[in-house]
Amino acid sequence: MSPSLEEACNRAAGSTVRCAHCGLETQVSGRDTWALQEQASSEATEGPPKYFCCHGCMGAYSLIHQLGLENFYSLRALLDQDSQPVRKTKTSDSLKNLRESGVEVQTLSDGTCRVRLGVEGLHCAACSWLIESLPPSIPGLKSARVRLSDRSLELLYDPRRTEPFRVAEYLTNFGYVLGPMHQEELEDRADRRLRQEHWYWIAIAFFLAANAMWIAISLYAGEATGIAREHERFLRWVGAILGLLSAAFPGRIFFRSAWQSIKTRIPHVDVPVATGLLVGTIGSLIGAATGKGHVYFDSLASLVLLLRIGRYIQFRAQYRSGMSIAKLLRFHDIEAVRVTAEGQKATVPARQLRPGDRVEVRSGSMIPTDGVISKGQTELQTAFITGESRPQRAMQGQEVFGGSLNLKSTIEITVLKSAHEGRLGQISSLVQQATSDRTPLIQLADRVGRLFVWVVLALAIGTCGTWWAIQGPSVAIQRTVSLLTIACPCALALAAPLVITVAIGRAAREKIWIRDGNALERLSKPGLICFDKTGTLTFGELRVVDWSGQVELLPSVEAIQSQSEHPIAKALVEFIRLENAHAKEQVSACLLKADSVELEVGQGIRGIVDGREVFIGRIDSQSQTQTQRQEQDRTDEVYRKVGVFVDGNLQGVFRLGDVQRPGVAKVLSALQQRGWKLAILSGDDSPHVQSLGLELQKSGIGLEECLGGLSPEQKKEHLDRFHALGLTTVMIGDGINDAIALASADVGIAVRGPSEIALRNAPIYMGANHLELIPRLLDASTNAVNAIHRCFAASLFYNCITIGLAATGYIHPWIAAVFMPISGITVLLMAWTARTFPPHSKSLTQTTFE
Amino acid sequence: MSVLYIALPIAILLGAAGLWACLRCIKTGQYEDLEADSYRILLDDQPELSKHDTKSS
Repeated sequence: MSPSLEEACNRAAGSTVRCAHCGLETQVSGRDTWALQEQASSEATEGPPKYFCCHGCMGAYSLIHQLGLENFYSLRALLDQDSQPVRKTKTSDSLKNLRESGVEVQTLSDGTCRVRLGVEGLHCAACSWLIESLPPSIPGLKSARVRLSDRSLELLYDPRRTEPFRVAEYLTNFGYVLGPMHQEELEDRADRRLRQEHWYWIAIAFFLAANAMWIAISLYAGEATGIAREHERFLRWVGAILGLLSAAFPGRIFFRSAWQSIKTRIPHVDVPVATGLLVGTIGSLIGAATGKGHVYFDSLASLVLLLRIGRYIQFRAQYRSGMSIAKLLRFHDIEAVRVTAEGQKATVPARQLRPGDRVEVRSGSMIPTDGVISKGQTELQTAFITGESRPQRAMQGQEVFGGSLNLKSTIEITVLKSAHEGRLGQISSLVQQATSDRTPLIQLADRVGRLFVWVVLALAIGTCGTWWAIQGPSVAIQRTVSLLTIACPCALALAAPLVITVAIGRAAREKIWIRDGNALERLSKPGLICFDKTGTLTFGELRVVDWSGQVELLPSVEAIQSQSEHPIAKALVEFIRLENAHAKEQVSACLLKADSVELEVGQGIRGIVDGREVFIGRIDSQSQTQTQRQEQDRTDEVYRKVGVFVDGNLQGVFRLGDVQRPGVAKVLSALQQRGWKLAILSGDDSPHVQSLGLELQKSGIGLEECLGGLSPEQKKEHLDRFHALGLTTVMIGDGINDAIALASADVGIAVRGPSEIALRNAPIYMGANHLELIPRLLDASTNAVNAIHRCFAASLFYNCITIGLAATGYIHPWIAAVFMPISGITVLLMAWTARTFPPHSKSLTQTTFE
Repeated sequence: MSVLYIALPIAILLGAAGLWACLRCIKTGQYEDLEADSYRILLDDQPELSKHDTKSS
């Protein structure tokens, strides 16, 4: 440290400064604050000293400076982005072998490789600048380009000199983690290609429509003020070419789908659209060629544009890919620790496990696949797989399912089945089957469209026949052409997807993510809602129901239990902290410390607090009277009892159970009021299901079914049975054991739970487990469908007027030119402003919980 | 011969040039990330490191 720097440090001692790297406030005291002279500027001017909160920040700072990237700091300040803590993770092994991880590597003609990877820890433009400035520092890396929208990084590199793994390692120093893109992101890329195609055609359709329109304006102007005959002919021909191009290229998709509809004999909205386009084009061509009759090219081109936009909106609203729920079980993402015969450990993806492999499962991690415990004993949380709410004890030699969570101690299992054949894989393939079995409901727009097709065709034939009889073929054909061109259900085709899209956007604000627009439509009519119990109606974890004993006991219980990770311990600690918050004045002073805390597997936990031995655990393992035991037998089925013993004497009893979420009864009765039938389908085999059913019945809620102990397949069977009765079935669940049911129900709603990543692809996903959102969602659905009906009514009203005018021969091209956009815009506005989610009322938002 | 016969095709061709540029933008994915580029334009180019460094990279 130079003398001047030391002086500066001494001057600043005692004051609060900000760390030059992370911005954390830190105290300057001669010793533990790290000061570093800015090396780059030391030659020119003596800069002010920089302070750091720790060695790590100093290291990062000097690293960034050595690379000459100090712009990072000014840029960061400039953009004033919220800084977020960076999660420190090690580089994923999956980058070492790109091909195996499913990463696509493109080799360009000059031998350069191109690869796109996901980046974690990307926050703002400063991050992207930092990463993009890397190439000169890594030999062989040619370019790095960040895309913020999907948090990915494209690397161009020379495979002989470097590989992505090196880049990833280097970036880890800065807190960025590179990894293969996830399945969802890959899907996104496929989506992107389709999206680009939509944009492409919309751009072309827009160009043609805009040009056709100004030519039409000149024609109308010419008609009003007079125009030379040859100019009019010229303009007509130019317009004709533009309209023809519009129908032939961006409009081709409608002819194709109309042709399909004719071939399969299923009426579709595209049939009248295509007929109108075709007849309009031919009629206008004749008009342009002969110089007589009306031309509709501007209407045609703008029609194609509007329809194209409608298609795009529909595409956005639709379920990304029908199969994504099948991909929800991403068990290939689970990593396993394989133990070789020599005792060496290696992390491998679960799908690489073969029967006979030995796998170590640490406490707190998931069992990768089905197997037998070969070493150790533990407690397992099998709620994801079976719905069983209570932790299960697992001994050596016992068979365990993949997807179970190891709660207690490290065990070793011998793999019995590979990931695909295991229980998890089985469920996954059943989900896939259920998804493909489901018959798609016919969309409302299609149903109305079919009716429309027949009415318009009948009217057209009627008009043609009548005028043929009265005024001969030329007038008849001209009026039929007008009618078919104008009677276009373009608003019909636009309204429904737009309303749904708007509703989906508003739902996202309520933390409900709707991936399948049809699901929203289906919720509008009452049917049957089936609830999963564990995690959906209840918390899915043990919580203290009540307790008896002296308040003075609580601090010592907290002191001991806060040292354990067991679910019971967690429940107790949480309960006590909550109690403390309620009665602050009493306990604020007594924070006790527990010594020599010892876990007795399957029994409880023992420790010394304040010189007294405290044991918290099973009651029957200690002294207990006969009556107490009998009482326990009765309630132990539903609730677990934990006793607190001080020096061997029972001083307090906690009762724990999987507690109902608050407000469940209120929500269920709200659903019942809306005409929905209710049922509980649970995988939990405990009597808890029945007791919950009884509890709900007491509060006046009628349940169609209240079943426990169901396997995932049985849940599906029950849903199919309800479906066969003609009810719209809705499944609400949170676990992997609900996955098949979610996929086979008419509408599957996943709520946030322990396996949330797995179910994020459900048609509807609720980000917060607020059951109150369900009635709101149903209301929104009803409102949306009503809005669609209103739009249809408006569209039909416009169509009636124009069709009437066309059939009677009063139509003029400018009427068509004015009416078409007006009808379209009105309907769009109606759809846009339709209120789907009712504003929050106080009673609904007051009790939020999670 | 009216000016219309020249002006109109020129106008359409100009429009078509704009369309071509737009389609190119879509094809090359320039509309995919509207966020990063809006920052990138504000950043100065990285000064070239010393010749020695660029040679080795």
